[in-house]
Amino acid sequence: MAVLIVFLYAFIVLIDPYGLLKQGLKRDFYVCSALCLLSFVIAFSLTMKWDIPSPTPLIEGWVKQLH
Amino acid sequence: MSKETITGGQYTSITIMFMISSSLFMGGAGLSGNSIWVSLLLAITMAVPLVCIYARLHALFPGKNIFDMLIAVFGKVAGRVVACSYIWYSLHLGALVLRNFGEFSKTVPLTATPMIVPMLCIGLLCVWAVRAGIEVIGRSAKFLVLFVLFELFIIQIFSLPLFEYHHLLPLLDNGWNAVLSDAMSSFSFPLAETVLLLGAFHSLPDRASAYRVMLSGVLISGGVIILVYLRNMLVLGPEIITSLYFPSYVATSRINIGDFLTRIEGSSAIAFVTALVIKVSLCLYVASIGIAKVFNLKSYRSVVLQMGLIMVYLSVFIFKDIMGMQYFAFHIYKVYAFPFQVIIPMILWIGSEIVVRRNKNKTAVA
Repeated sequence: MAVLIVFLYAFIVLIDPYGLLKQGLKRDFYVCSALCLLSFVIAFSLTMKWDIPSPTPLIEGWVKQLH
Repeated sequence: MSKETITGGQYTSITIMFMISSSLFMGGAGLSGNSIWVSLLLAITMAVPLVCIYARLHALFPGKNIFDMLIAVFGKVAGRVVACSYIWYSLHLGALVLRNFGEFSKTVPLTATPMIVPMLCIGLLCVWAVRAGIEVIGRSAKFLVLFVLFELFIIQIFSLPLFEYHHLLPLLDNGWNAVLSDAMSSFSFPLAETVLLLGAFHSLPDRASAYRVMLSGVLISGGVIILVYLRNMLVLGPEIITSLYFPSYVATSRINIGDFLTRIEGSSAIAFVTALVIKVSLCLYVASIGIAKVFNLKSYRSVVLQMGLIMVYLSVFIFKDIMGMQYFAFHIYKVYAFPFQVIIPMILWIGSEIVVRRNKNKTAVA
């Protein structure tokens, strides 16, 4: 499954960030690449069943402090 | 960025679909029991002035969205920082709504399918819609809202034989505190979530009255939500409703017209999914527009796919289970969303009035 994700993201990089670079949209390319890296890291972590920290306990903690 | 415009009618349709989507299935907080309709009326009354403030922002900054307004009022740095909080809010809200759908599909129709599969399908559909532009979302919403309202009307009629009116009494049995608490919950979810519609204000023509468009959207959807809650209450009763995660689905499943027309809950699920697609699309659109504004990109379309994928992944690990989702939606969300829905827009409105008056005075002196 992890290999599949890597291949899938190779395809996504080709059609999304690389496509922007070919169009000469450098700033769009950098931002898109950063987001692509982030989404790849999350997708890979989910595939490997690694524990990703959820923002919900943090938000709940803040809200309970306010109460 | 190229100028995209939608008509007032399309904007109203988006508002209605945006507001009724999750509340159609999730139901209310349920503290007020059979008086939930009173709390909804209170929530609508509280939401009307807030929506007027949102509409006033459009009058002050015609052709601008919330991110333009934030940068114009708070300056380039502080404006961008506050804009980032709205990017987070829209991304988070989109993930919450997707998770509602994921939990629904995991609990009811697709129990053996991994939750990410239906969420990814909806997420990719929304990515496609947002990449196509706000005009496509607007046209889809205008068509789909008729279908959803018609379908809700038919289900309402079919439910009439199941109504047990004694469920409505005694009124205010749980006291005013419970009613007010539920009113705050209903105010934040879904009524004041319309703050995200400010992210698409640039597509509303300058001549269109934002007051008319937004107020009609809020009042129509508020009326629809009251009718749906009342139907659930009259069919199931307050005790059963509080023990269910998706009361509308159960209430619809009880419809039986002469042993011929039965099991029509699937059609109510279709209405839920169609409304949900519009809501998630709008959340994704606003998040992408925000990223494009903050980083000064040529087009918001450059980041739509990545933002959509992040939204879907976030919805996977945001809650441990359905109980966590329910607790967050009815107890935490109203406090968490308050700054985004009320405090920041109020400060923005006051700041906008000052900035616009100062600019007018400068023009008059010159």
